[in-house]
Amino acid sequence: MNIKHELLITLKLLLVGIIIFSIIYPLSVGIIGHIWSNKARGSLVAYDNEVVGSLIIGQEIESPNFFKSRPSSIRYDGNYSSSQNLAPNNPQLTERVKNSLVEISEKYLLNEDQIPADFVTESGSALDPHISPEAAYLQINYISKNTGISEEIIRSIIDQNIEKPLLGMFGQSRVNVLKLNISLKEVINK
Amino acid sequence: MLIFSLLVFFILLAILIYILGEYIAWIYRDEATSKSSLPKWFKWFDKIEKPFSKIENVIFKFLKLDIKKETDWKGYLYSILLFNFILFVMLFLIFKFQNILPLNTLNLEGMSWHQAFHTASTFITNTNQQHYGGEILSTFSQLFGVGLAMFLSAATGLALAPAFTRGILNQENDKLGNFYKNLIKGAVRFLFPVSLIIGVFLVSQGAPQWFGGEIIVNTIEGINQSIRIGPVAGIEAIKILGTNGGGFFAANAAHPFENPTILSNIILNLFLLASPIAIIYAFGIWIGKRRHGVILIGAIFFIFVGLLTVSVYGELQPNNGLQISESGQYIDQSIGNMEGKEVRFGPALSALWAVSTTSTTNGAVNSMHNSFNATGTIGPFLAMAMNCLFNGIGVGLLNLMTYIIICVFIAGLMIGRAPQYIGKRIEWREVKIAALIILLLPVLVLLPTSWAVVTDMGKEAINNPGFRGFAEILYEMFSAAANNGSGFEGLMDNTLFYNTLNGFIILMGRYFPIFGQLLIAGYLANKKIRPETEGTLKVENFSFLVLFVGVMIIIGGLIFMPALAVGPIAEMLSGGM
Repeated sequence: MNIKHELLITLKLLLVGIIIFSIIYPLSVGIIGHIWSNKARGSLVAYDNEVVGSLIIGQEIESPNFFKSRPSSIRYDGNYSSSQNLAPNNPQLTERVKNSLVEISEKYLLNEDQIPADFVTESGSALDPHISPEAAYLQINYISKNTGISEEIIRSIIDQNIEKPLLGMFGQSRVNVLKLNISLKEVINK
Repeated sequence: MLIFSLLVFFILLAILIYILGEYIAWIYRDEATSKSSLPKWFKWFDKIEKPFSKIENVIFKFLKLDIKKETDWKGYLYSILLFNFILFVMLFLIFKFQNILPLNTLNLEGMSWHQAFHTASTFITNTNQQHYGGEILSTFSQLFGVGLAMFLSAATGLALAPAFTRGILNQENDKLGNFYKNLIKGAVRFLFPVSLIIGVFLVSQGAPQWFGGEIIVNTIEGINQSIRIGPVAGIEAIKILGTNGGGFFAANAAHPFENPTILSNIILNLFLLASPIAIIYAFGIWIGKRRHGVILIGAIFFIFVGLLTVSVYGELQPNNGLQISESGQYIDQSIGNMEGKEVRFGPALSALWAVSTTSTTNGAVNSMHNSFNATGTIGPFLAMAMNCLFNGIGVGLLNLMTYIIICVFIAGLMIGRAPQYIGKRIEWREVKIAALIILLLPVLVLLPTSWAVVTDMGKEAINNPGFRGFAEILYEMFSAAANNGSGFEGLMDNTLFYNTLNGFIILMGRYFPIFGQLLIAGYLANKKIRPETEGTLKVENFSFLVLFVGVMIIIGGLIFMPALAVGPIAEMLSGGM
């Protein structure tokens, strides 16, 4: 075994690796992926010629005119991701969920006594763009009061935007909050 | 419906394993001295031989590599260690000094020396345990550090599979092959093209492949939101295919940019399982006993399904922390535990992924394991503890063989014959090394765990109270020692203590077993092939499967029972409190 010879091979191999895997590979994915050029850039959506967000990244919503997303400890700041990692036995989790529950019941004045689990829990990424259809339905009355849009129209907006589980068996039913809010804005500005 | 969907998933998985297995076996047919020929419907592989060998020959020429020169186990190990060391130095420098390197549009700082040490160790060893959120890395670090290491560490693992097989098939010949040739062939023919396909597919689903650092938008309400972006799709693809698991973002595959849709989740989960399993199948092809490969996969699959059942059941239960009511309203948890999970995946797909990622040594997560119910965490814990399930790319086969040697030895004692595996006598030396390799894991897990739980440096990092706090540390050490890299998350582990300790555990957990396994291959290679007689242990029938399952459970599973009893099992029995 000749150390010098072997070291030279190793260094050259690293150089080849850099060229193929750090330069050619990512560029090829990018170039071929350009077929879906908008998706390759982060699935940006525009309303009225202004970019209002990425379709697959959730948004912090404070205005009473729009659908709210799930709770997020990072307040949907896209510079970060990941949840608080609270375990079921952590009192902080119960405390946080209790606060959400109080907030929701005061805000939406619900007749139903059940709140869907996804609407009071934090997602894994804390950037979840979706909520369950049930979580959207419970906001109808509140949004209708604040925007003046009739409940039927809001309900139909939700129904149109429900995405079903893949092949009817993988994953969950869901609605994209940003899509809902864009539809709402369209109705408001009509 | 759930069972039916899992069934569909496993049928798709079987097809994928079959195709990838035949393909990998074809790539190394000469290097592993394969005893089988290509099935009819894969004859077209021979058509792509030419373009690939052209590319490889250019690389061989540039390296001035003598591909005919083969080495014994010592030479093979030497090349691996040298190559990995050089890679380590480069990664360390990139992570430490990313602030003065290009493509750092967001002016991110370099890592501390101990974090850079941990991160470099973890990426060269295919572990990908992350003590940082992916958001602190510049595009340069992601492409030239993380991305590069993901390919090269996976290729290193891949190159070990044909070498070990040679140990079994050689007739008194100590040559195991040429490491560089095997590495290049695996990277050029398998990792690069398959990753490219997955990467492009991911872009079609919404994973970005963009070289800027962030996009800034005004949300629908007009609030400023900045979103980190980068060459995500490409890195995501090799992260899954190469059993790497290091996320581009802190949230790993839970992040909508890494894993945008249910379809992307299913495809990634399939490849995550298929790439290490395909190598076990390829092993069966090389030794000329396809059925033996299937039996091995079947034995592991049996345990896998058991763990999966426990975890899926656990996650479909309500989260105990949410069993509250406030002014007459309570939380509808009929769907299961949703804390730390994405709406699009839900509890079932999250639990499937969690058990998949830990029974292979991938370590990517699509939900936060620390928020799992106690029952749900049992699957990931045991899967890592056994360390002999599908495991990592390439090294998975070697770990499996370690258990096979013990299994054959026990079987030999039971039938009263000298133990023999596929024509090779298993003698005391091999058994001794195999036993030492298996005993290494408890040493690397339990000693550091005990150290961490008795010192303040270790305890300060704990995030959740009670048994779960202990489980966080235990999981962290498992993840490092088994080279898994999956995070329980929540543990505040970016400290001098955890970075250096885990860094060393990871390095020992990778290179000691490889050393022992190559040594075994070296011993076996020098032996005579013995003909199979009436009395030899049959490795292609159902009783071997049962025997092997027993050995894996008794040796792999029970070693850690006492430690697990203090962590997740205690939590489960106490009703999750």
